[in-house]
Amino acid sequence: MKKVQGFTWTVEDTNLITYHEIYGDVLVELGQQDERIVCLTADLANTTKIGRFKEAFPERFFNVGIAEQNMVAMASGLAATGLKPVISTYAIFATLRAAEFIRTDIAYNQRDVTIIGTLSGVSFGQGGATHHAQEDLALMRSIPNMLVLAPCDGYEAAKAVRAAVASSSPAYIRIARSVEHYVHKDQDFAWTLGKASLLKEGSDITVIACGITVYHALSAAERAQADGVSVRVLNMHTLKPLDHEAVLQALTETRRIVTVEDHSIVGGLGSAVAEVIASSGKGCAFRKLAHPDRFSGMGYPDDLIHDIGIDDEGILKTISELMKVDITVDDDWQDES
Amino acid sequence: MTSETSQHWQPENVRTRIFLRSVLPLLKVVWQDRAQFPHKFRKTKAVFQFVALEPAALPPEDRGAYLQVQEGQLSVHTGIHQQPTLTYEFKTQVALNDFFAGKSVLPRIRGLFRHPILNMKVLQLLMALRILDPETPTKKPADRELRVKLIMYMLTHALSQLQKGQHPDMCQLVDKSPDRIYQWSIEGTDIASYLRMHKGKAKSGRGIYSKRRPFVHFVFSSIDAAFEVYTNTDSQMAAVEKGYVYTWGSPEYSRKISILQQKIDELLTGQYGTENPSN
Repeated sequence: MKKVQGFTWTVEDTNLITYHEIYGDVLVELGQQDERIVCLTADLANTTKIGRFKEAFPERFFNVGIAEQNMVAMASGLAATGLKPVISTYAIFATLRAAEFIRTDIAYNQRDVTIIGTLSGVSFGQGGATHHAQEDLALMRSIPNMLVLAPCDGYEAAKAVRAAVASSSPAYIRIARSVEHYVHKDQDFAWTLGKASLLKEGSDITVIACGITVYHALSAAERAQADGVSVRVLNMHTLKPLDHEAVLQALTETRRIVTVEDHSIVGGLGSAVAEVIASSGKGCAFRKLAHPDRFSGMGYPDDLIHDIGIDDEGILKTISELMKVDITVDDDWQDES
Repeated sequence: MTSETSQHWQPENVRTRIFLRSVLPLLKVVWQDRAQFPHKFRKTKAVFQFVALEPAALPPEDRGAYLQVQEGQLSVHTGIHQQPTLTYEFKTQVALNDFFAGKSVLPRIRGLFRHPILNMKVLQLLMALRILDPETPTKKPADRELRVKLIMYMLTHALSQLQKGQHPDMCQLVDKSPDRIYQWSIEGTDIASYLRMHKGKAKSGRGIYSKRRPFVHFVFSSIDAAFEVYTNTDSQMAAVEKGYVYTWGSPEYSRKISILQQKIDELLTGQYGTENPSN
């Protein structure tokens, strides 16, 4: 092999080994069931796997070229005719470049369009800040009518795609490279749109994660368990609508919460959870693990997430720090008899 | 690569390390797998030593190792035993390395006249390692399983030896590495090995590392798939495309590890050349 490392390796070669990226197959399956489903991409049919839909239904597939804003506007128009468009391109371009089109053409008009953003967070690695999607969750969360999902692996991405298409609502699904570790062994697990998945029960502290950080949260929780710390792990696959109940339950039962995301510390999962905690009026030791408020660096994705501190080591370190915070829990002021 | 590590990088030394510390201990796996060997040596209490005389300045554990047989058990040790039963003595480190690489090198055998039959048994035991040679036919399922097991164990251990032998590429990888586990396993079997890196140190082990999840996990879909990967020259990418191996986790680092494994193969066959290994 000539391409040992570098930009081309990330973009081209990993495409060859995304054997576990299954949402493309799910789209084909959905397309067979519902003739209204059409797919669009901005010159990234193969890389995003939406190209599998093209192979199955060439007459229902549109490659608009590198013109994301046009793609979104076109999808909105198609949806206005009663079709169910699904868009897929890199997360950075799908959301930030086409933001106003999503807001006004799709969300404002409540168009039934599903947007799948790939290579989210820093998963583009050597592509650098211009290709990293650090702000997509913040942006999509702030737009009314949008569903916002960040599945943790390929199997959950498949469920997210099914749920988003079935919802008839504007939806944004963010996925990473699809070469990351799997959390689930197959698609046979309970999953509900808008409801956090409890992956590990625990009573000392709760780690709320989304996307690729869920695997690291579980890993950190298992390591903390070995040291006698009981860590609850919530997979917050749906950021909007957020599962307030799960957050409040974690707040009440563990009083220590860490959020983890491959996204800016501004406006993402951590901010969403913080809003719930602040509104509750209850005290809580709380940390947000996310990208600092600056543009990301360049490098291998795994090194970047390590440097940011959102891998298992970073999470474990934060768990350890937060366990030192003294929490006095006494919500019940009835005299004991 | 630091200048310090480059000064310490001596390919022939690392070859010896791998043969004595990674390959020779595989005899214990063979011993457990093939009942004829414990049977052959059931009444034996002896020490069989392999030693290179030059360079004499090398520490004993870097130019010598010995097998100890006692009460039906085989153990492997590095260093030089004071009272060996048989000693396979090589004039140079290169000769010792070439002997283990399967080249026609004849050692001086001390103790041969007193223990000719024992010598034959030892050579038969050593010959069992020829199963590592891709040219050796292995059609029986048990042989295929043993080969992939030996290769997997050897490669994982040898990666650690690369680091301990100051191979620049390996040191560069390990020096920068946070606590990470590289895991290898074969689906449907208990054959597995792992390599842990942390703060400039590396350590290999067998089985599934249980204290944390792997950073990269190479999962062979079957023994036959592992056999194909380990004995063919397909690239990692081709093996992935054929479904022989799944790499969970960082594709970049799995790639680096695969390249280092190729360097081990080059070292063992003496094809490492004289160029800077970073190139």
